[in-house]
Amino acid sequence: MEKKINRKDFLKLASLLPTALALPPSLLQSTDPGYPNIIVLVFDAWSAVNNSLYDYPRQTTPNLDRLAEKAVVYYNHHAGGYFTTPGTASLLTGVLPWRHQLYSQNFKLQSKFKSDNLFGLFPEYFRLAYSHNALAQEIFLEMANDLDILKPREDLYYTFDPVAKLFRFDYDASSVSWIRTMETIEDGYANSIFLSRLWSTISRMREARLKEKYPLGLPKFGGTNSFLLEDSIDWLVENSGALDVPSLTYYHLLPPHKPYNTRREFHNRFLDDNFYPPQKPEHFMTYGISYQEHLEARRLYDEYVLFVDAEIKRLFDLLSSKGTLDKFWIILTSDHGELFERGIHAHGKPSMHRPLVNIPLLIFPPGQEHRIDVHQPTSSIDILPTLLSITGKKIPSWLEGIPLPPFNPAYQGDREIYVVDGQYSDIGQPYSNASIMLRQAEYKLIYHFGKKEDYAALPDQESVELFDLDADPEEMNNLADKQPELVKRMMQKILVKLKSEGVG
Amino acid sequence: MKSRLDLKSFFRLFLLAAFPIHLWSLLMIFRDVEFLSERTNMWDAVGISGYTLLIALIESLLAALILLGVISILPGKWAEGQRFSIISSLYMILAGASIVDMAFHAFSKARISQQYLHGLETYPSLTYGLIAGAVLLFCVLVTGLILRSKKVENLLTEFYDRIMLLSYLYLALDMVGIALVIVRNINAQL
Repeated sequence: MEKKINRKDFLKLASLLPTALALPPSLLQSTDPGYPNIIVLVFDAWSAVNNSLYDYPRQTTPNLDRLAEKAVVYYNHHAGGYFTTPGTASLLTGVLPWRHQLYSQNFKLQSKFKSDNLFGLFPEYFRLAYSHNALAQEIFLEMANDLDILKPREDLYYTFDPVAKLFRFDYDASSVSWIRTMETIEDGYANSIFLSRLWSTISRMREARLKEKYPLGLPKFGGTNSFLLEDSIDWLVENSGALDVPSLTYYHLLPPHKPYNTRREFHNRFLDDNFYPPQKPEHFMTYGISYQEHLEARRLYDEYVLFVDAEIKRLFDLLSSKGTLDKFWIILTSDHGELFERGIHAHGKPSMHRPLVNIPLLIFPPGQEHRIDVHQPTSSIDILPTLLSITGKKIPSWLEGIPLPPFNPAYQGDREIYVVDGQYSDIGQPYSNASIMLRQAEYKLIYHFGKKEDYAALPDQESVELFDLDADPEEMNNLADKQPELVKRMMQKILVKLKSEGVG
Repeated sequence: MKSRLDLKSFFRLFLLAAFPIHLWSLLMIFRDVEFLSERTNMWDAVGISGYTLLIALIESLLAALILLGVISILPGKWAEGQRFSIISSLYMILAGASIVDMAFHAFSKARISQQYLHGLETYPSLTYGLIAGAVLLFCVLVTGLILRSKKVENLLTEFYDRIMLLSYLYLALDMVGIALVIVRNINAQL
């Protein structure tokens, strides 16, 4: 049946027209555009909220603010999950956790997505993946059949893991064992009572040589897996665009993930700057962290974002001086955000508030000379279909995501956007413990339910929060009691969705 | 007095060194196994335990070598039994202090919020200093007691001999650990 366009639909489509007009004409052609090179650059735990690009009061991204003048900038972009495993899996598969089932590292990727993913859908490409983060690396391993190069994590680490090198055929178990046995720096204990202390001392001494440059210590993953972000950026530039075949590079870099070990020139940049974000009510998932502790952690994080921003600029400068910048579509985004409020720190709890789930997304089409701002809510599951669309490929029907505006003029701004966590539920069963965020237009509803783990402190085993993000971007006023009809409608949508995905 | 630091002495020191190292490693293995099996599967969890035991074995050998070196530089006028008892006691005190410190971090929930914040130590350096001072004082005290009292020396030697018996069990587990590592690496290459 042919669907007629009503007035509301017409206005939605019309709102996209100016952004579509700003794109180079060649980029709006969806048929036979050739196979352009693609770099997907993911910075871990990078919240959109803490970027001056998105109107944060601190000038955390001065370089990105300038680079964005030639990019498509997404203001309301959402991760698929609240930490690396579900967030990255959603980005790579174009579906949400209820379908790919990688709720956490304890779960297995649903077998269909071992081949149906960003790498498997681009067989004509030379596909390279790298991650500082072991959780992302584990996902790559599941998809390794469709990767031409899966660069080992430790190749770009500053530290040395002799066990993983010696037992490279059993890499995962040997490296996990090494970390559990030797690393005391992050949590103060390890499986070894003597060697671990010796190893920590050696690691500290080795890093001390770079103390001048990194006053808080080197950037690192876990306790002693330190690395230099500069090395990773250099490697990316050296290994991009040197081939005759189109390349798809997926690069998952750890900063600004904690620990927030920024570089000397950014250290203490925001100290005593009298920036006081609003104090928010404590969440039931709280760690008990005080407002003052949040302020300190946020400052360190913001200073780390400055470092990321500087390295993004350096990446663009290097590609430009190499003459290859215009040969790539560059997608700049994150796997999830980072939160410093409500007694919760970083991304350990699925509170689903904006700093945790709103992530940056910038798309740099080659040759684009204008900035395009997209304010419609979008999701990281849309990146895969967008790449398929811009390369003229067919978009499979199993994808939950859809091509992003302005590459998709039919994109509807009131589309339902979900962020999902169900890691404390049984696979194949309806969710018994879960956190669901539904964003639709300006409204956002957060629904927590269950009684295990994070949900043990839930009064009545469920909680509903409703926010009007246009009027209340800081999510200070829960409107759930004031707008029961809207809550009912949005809850109904969530319940129907859960049912249709086999988890309700 | 003539020193008799032979292979037998080394093996005694090795058995002694292996005890606290393995005690803690096994405690951590049992603590981790559920998390590790949930992370991937039980075979991986067991494999990780195998590597941990292999490292514990190497750590024990290194510790025994160091103890052998230290025992050889203790004053020659002390009897061999005294030297063994002193070095064993000092080793056990250090190992005990290390285990207590790690247990504090592993099992204490009191300051968990602090662990999430960069730059905040779980306890201040003054406390570290006091603990180190207490350990040192205890070492001196025990050394003095052993040198002055044959009864204390004999009591401790008897205690360490009993401990060493348990280490045989740990060594058997190490052999299982090595076998696991070999099997996993062969499997991974097939």
